[in-house]
Amino acid sequence: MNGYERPNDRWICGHAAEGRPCRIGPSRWGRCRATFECDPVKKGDRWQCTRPKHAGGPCAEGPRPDGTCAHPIERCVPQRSLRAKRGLVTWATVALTLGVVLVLLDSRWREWWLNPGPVSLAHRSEAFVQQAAAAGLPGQCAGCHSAAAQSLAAWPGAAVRAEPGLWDFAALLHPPSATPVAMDQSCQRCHTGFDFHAERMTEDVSCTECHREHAGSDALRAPSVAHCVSCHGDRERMPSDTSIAKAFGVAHPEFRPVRERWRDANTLKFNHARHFAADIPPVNGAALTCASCHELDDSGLRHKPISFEQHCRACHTLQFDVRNPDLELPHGSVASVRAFLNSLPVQYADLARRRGLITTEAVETFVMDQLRALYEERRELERDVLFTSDWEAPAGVAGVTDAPRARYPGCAKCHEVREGESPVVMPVVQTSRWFRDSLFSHTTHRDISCAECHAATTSRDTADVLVPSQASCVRCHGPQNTALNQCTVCHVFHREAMR
Amino acid sequence: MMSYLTGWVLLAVMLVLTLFNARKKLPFLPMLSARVWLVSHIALGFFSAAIFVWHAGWPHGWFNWLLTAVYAAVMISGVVGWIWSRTIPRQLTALGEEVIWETIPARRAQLRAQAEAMAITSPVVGRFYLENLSGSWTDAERNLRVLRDTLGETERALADRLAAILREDALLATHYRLQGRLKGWLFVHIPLTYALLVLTAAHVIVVYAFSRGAP
Repeated sequence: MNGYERPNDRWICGHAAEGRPCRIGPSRWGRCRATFECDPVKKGDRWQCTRPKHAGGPCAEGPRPDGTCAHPIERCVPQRSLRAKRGLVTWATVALTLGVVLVLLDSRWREWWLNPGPVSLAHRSEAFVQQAAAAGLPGQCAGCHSAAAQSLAAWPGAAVRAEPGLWDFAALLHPPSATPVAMDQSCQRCHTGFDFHAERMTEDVSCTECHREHAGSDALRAPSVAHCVSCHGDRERMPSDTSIAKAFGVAHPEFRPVRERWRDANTLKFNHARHFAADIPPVNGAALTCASCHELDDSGLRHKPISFEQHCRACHTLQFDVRNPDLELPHGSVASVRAFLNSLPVQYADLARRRGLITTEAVETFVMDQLRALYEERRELERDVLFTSDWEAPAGVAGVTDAPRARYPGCAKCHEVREGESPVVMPVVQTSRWFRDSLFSHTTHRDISCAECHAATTSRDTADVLVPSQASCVRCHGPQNTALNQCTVCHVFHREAMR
Repeated sequence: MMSYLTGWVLLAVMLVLTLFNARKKLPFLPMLSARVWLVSHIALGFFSAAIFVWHAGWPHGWFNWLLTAVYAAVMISGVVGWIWSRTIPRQLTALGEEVIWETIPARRAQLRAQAEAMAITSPVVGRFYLENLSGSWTDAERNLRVLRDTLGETERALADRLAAILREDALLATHYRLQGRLKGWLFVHIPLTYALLVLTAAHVIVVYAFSRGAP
């Protein structure tokens, strides 16, 4: 065993691997310290060898006359110890890592490098970037993160000044507040104020409370059910008259129109069930269905208002004179009806000419005959037209249409007509949207039969509000079903979006 | 706030894990036994993996991917080192001799010198040395057994001594390889640990500077 076994030193003798390390070893800086095997001492006038016993003891030759040792040690190139090599690799790795981090975070690639996921379509648009640049925050990230517009050196300071800050450990133990945060200032450059919140909000809520960016979708990812329930499932946080909801179909209030048994105040007298009866003839060659009258609007969400001309007249003609089905009452205003009735001589004369009567005498005779016949049946013609609901009128009159028609029953059959100085037909008010604060797309649900949600086939009263109950939706949107059941599927939070 | 909390807990665990290396450099300090530190290091290492998954989930973004990759490398190298530290010592014990890894090159150099000294005393053994041992000694003992049967009594004794040297060298080579593994995995584990701390520090600053509460 040699005299130099110090593996924990940073450097080892270059001859160690050959099995003959020197007994001095390298300096701590890795320099070879080999000189001679001993340092002769002079005793009297003679130099004496001082080589220690473990190194072989005094040599036979002894020192040279000038006092130098006769056995110079071969110099070596010291080698790093294993521990030193590991330390070197460690420092090199740390330096490389630090270099890569600093270079990338201070370069023009840093947005690409740090971005934890693609942002929503709106927040990666050119308009958004321009808006941020106009506010002095160049770059896409700076549109929301002001740090992105700062140099790398400013980030530690920003981290400390953030709320909660870098050293604010106490905040870690408290639930985060939903109130506005610093980033909302960025949001409000485009989404001004907090006036887009729902009317009944008791306090402003930070945009970031619900909206999570970098979620990789085209639209901002909808908040989770748990997120909404954190407020809407908490009686303490909600206004006292607000229903508490925790999960659709499980702990969710019944829809308000159903729960409160709303009634439709429309004055039109309409019987849905009658229109599904077996004796209803085909319309334009097809059986009468919901879609015959209820057409989707351009948005595909809801339906267009029902129009008499488009949806009713095909069956409900206004042929008031059984002998002259060519004549029809006008629809839309009492004044028009009264004007028409007052001008019946002219109407009949015009009809006579259309039928080929040319001479004045023939036309006058035709007019007088028709008026006499009509007034013999209806002495109070105008009143009967407006207030009667069981007028007998042609059905399936040849020459007008081959299809059987509903007989003209009088205005009061469908309308509420009020007497007065001048008769008034109460206006028809169609409610196009019963769930005012929710979203629903009929297009999305086009594969489902209308009757699965709307009890139209049994409804005989206009006042019936034919909206589905929660149970109807839960069949697909309940917690056990595959269809979406997040709150945001039906509900919107922002005031503007509700309209 | 939960991700912030788990992040700080994870960083604290990582710092404690890193202290294990510092503890090894300061063996004179009365800070629990080395065994307690080792068991704690292993247990905390696995605990950190659970917190990491809880904290980070599936990583998003290149920086987070780098952070995750380095963490995974540290974790995997640690597990490999742990397995080696439990299996290799038994193999070394089975070899029957305790050898300090750092002395092995010197001892093998000495054996080579002995073999060379022996080789020059016999023309036959010397020729064998030149043909089989001047380079690598792999498979040399098998060739020597073949040669031994053709030798006279004196040279056979010489060949037996040379075979003993070759066996000792093979033993040392095995020691060197196995102990090298025990030391080698630390060349991955320790440097990447410190690289992970650097990346984590950058991650913490970035997270706070880009947080929703940042000015």
